[in-house]
Amino acid sequence: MNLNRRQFSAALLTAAAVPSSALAADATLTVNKLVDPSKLIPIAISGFTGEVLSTLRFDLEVAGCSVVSADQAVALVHGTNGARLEGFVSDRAKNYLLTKGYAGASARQLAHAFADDVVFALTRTRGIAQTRVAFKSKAANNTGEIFVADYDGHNAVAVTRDGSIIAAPSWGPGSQWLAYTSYKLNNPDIFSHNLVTGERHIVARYGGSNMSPAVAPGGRLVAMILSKDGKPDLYVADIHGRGLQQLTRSREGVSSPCWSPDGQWICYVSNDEGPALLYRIPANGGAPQRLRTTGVFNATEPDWSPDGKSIAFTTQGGGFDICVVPAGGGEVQRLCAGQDPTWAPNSRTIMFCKRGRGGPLSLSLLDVPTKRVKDVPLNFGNCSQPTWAR
Amino acid sequence: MNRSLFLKFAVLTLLSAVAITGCKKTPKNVTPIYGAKTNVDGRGGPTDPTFPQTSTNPRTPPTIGPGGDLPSTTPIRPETFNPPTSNPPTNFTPTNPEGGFRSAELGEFEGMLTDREALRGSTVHFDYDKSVVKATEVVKLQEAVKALKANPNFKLLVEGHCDERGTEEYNRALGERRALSVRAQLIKSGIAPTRLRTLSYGEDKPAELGHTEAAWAKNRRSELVLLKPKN
Repeated sequence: MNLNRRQFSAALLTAAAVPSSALAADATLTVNKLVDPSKLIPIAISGFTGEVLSTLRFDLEVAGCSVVSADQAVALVHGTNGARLEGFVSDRAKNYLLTKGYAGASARQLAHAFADDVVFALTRTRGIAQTRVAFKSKAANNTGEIFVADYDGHNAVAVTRDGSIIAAPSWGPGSQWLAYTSYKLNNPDIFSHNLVTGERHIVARYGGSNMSPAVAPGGRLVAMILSKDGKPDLYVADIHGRGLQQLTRSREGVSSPCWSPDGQWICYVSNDEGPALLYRIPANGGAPQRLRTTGVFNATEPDWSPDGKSIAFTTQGGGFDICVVPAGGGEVQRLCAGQDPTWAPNSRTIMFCKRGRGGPLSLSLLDVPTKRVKDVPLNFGNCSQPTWAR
Repeated sequence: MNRSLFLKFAVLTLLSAVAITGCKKTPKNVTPIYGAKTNVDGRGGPTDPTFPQTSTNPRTPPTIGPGGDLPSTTPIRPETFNPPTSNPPTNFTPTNPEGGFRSAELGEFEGMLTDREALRGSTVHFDYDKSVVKATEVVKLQEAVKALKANPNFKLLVEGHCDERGTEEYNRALGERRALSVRAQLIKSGIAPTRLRTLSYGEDKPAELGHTEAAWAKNRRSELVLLKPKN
């Protein structure tokens, strides 16, 4: 009986695999015609149950799909889940775009792995369902801890247990390190924290405030804001805090640095012209350049997209709004209410933080082309300052 | 005879090996911070009940598990190093065009007693998104100047705070700008920069909760904490 079933599924897999490769060119053409990234992709899901179904649905909705009935869908995502997950994607003409089995992990992990394959089959872009994020969670007494979780908020694990004020997590090399600001030693100091061994090192503990670490792509350098020389200015050092170099000498002070994906530039916020505005400066020193943000009067908390094309940031009027601007500056596009955006590795999804009416801060996901927002289910404390591992 | 001697020797080496490795083990839940004089004592779990009680030891990596996307980059092996120190604060040269003064080193303030009450009346308030100490607020600092001049051993911690309107890291820098402009006023009144320490809490320590203009006005402030030598 058991053997029979296994043989059957094996037969099914091979049978499905052959036509899928034979029709691949044709099928890709059909689907690519439908991929206008600003339009939701109508799909139908059938056959899955329980946590696999809810996980898969969440992942695909974040990726820009809308789940509709089979007769309205352009693609059918179907399969079965038990100890093993069998997943298929077919178009309306019953061409198979994907047929694959998954085993050897939890139901959520299997569903995430399948979701990434579905996204690739439909859009030819890498999915984000198996990525992680770090964020800060603040308790009622103002202290907080840094957490690491799956991008959908599940499997959250506390990285720190200090019971002190903490801020600004930033991922380090290979996503095995975090840098952050902690008030553990009664001063805002910057630490690096190895997630594998639990080791911590001081990166910067100078007189004044040591704030806003941003680890460079590649992980060798850290950009940070130090006030030791009389104003909050931008500095760069290696991951151990050595070879410290001051990059800005601002009149009013600067804040929240981020790196270009090639590591050549640092984008930051300066008040030298009055309101908070975006600037960029070569990472090895040079003259700061104003980044034009046409359409908004202030800009803070920039984050450079991993494909290098755009910068997401927060603007403030009555409330906070998430915006994007081309990396070279230009016309600003307002996306939704919220603050402190961080790009996913796909340069399409953004995680950000928002405050419910008088309530706590919570995290949400935004699909930039479709402007669709989905909340991250986390039910503890104020969650803010998300940062995506990429 | 020979054989039992060898056995005794083998057992002895085994025991001593166990003893040595056993001794080297760091106590559970203690993460040493390299470069700091203090050890960071990670307690068993977060104190606040709103945090989820994870059974995971803080040392275990939060990995995704099989099928996860673990990059193969070699992790950096950090070695112990001394904390970075800025130049000794012997002569204070203005380091930027606006005449900012270099911060005194944290070591200068170690082990001092903090008195938060003495200078309660000297809390300075600021306008929205501003770090300028208004003329009406400057007078509040006289009390602090008096206390510092009367007691040459006393030092001062200037804390900067913000309201919640502003993103977190922007506010952390804004709080520091506020603390620094109070510090500049005190230096102008004749207090040596070596006796002044600044730090910013951003929006993390509001004086008053609530999302109204009245609450925000109270939160945009700089608090002065008198530091007294022990004994």
